[in-house]
Amino acid sequence: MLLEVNNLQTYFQTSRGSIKAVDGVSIKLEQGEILGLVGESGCGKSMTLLSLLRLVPHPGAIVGGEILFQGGDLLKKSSREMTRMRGRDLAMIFQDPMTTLNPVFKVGEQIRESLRIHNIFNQSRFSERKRLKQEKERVIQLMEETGIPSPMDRYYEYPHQFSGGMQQRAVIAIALSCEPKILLADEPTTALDVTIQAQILNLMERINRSHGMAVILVTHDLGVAAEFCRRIAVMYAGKIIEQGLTDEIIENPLHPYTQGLLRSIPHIVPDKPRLRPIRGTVPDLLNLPPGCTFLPRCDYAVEVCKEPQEMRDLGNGRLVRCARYK
Amino acid sequence: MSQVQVSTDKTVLREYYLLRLRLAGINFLQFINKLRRHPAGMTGLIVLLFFVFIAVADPLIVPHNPKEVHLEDKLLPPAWMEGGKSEYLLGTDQLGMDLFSRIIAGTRISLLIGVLTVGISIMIGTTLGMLSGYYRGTLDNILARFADLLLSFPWLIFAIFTMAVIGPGFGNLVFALTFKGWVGFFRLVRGEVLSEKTKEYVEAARALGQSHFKIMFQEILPNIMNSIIVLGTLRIGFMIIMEASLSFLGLGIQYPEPAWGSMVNVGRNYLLNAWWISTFSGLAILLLVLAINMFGEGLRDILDPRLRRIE
Repeated sequence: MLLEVNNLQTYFQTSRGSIKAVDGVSIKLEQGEILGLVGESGCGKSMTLLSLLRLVPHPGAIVGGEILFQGGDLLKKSSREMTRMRGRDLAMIFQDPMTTLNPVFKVGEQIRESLRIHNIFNQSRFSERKRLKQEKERVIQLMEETGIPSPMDRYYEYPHQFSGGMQQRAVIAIALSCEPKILLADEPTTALDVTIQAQILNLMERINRSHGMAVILVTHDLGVAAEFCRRIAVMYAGKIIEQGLTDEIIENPLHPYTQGLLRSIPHIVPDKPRLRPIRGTVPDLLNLPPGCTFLPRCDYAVEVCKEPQEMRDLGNGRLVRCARYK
Repeated sequence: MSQVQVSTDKTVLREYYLLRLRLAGINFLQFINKLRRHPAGMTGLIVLLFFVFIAVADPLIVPHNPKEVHLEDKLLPPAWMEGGKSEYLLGTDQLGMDLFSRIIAGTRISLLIGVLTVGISIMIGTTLGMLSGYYRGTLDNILARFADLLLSFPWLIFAIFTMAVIGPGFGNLVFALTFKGWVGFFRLVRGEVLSEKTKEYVEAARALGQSHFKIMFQEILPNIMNSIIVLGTLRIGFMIIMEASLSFLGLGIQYPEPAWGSMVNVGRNYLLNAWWISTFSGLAILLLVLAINMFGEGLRDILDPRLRRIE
């Protein structure tokens, strides 16, 4: 087990009460596995990722749980130790590559910077010039690997001279530079068009295979998750409500919310059926219903649903948080 | 990680460095080209360079020692007027000091004061503004209130007060002007940092394990450098006027020293029969500050993309 998150809780304290952005999330991640974290906007997917890096923005704070990684709890590490691990052991890719890259630095230099932060080429026998040379070679190699054409020229270009897809490749190159154990991808393809999206996903899959790097992919697009991930966890209102192998979830969704999500994906076929959106809206995170959080929108609601639902283990890694399954 | 395949050889690396050098050159040429299309800015730059040249070459080009007294030649008019001597191009003052030499020597003092005060102000203001905007909290509250407090005093009155307390002199003058001068940069940097801080590249740098200090000064600072440079340039002109005002009031640099402000003040007593003393010193101030402001506005039009987009 590479990463084990147990009962992670990240709350935002506001003047109107505490918002439970991440409310008892438990995830397990094997070496080299790709896990998809799916859910609609505001369900706490991104906050889960940021919590893993302990980068929750103010006024949010991790109030409970544990994140076991490499034989230690990340939540117990000092902030200095944590800084050292970010980027080296856990790297993150953000949604919008345009703003992720610093506009005033050359792309190559930004990739090199990540090597510099973690002293990748800091053997004492190297002079500064030799170190620089090594770092540059590594950057060129990374740019080649992430499919940036003619990296020698591209090294000296600025982010605005890159297209969106190329920018995301550069961001991935930065994330890869220190060969992290886990790659956290926060909607890496949302800002890109579909063809580029496919290319970036291909690239990440190739990297996953060649480096054996585990990936947690956060997306609101079930299609992307189905294409790319081995396992999927569906989130709703800060909780994981269903988890299992991708094929099983897609073919046989158990939780009414997952079923609803799959029904609301448009298909490109003649005589397409009308889309059936999930009725109602996401509940106010400030006062969630006391029982099952999906209760107000659920077609199968019964009396038991008014009590909090436990995660039910159906075997074979299939977990679901719904009273309909024993 | 340790075995990196060497895919580039030495010649390629040399090409890198050459390319980098060429890119730097191109950037500079592009800047000059843009400035050429901005006539006011270009004029400002040329006049400013002329003044800088004078300030640097000062001891080599002055015809007389600027503090040398020629009592026999006092209050002589400029050379082209009746009674003027050709060796005193712009005439002499009441002690017979050569006005032309004194104006040249004054250039150095004015520019030095301007550059020094703004330089120190930038260092203090940027550092504090960066810390304040980045960390917020108590530090920010204290610094921002203190800045507001300083801003509530009018510039000149504050400077007069400070000079009256600590006494005249070059070092004290620099101190008095920087004491309030950093506030402008503090507020500028603080505001820019507040907006830059929310951008994703800062979060990405954090996720990469970059330290707070490096994020502040290596990631954010280069992004707000243009604004600092523009404000700095415009401030130099303002500081020169402040220096001249204080010297005029007798609180800055004292008379025999060749400061433009004190020269205007001395000439005031002889304005009716020796108008040239105040006039030429005043013109020098006008010309230098005008050049700096024109250049500063040119810089702003070129460097500040927000302003460029409006045009």
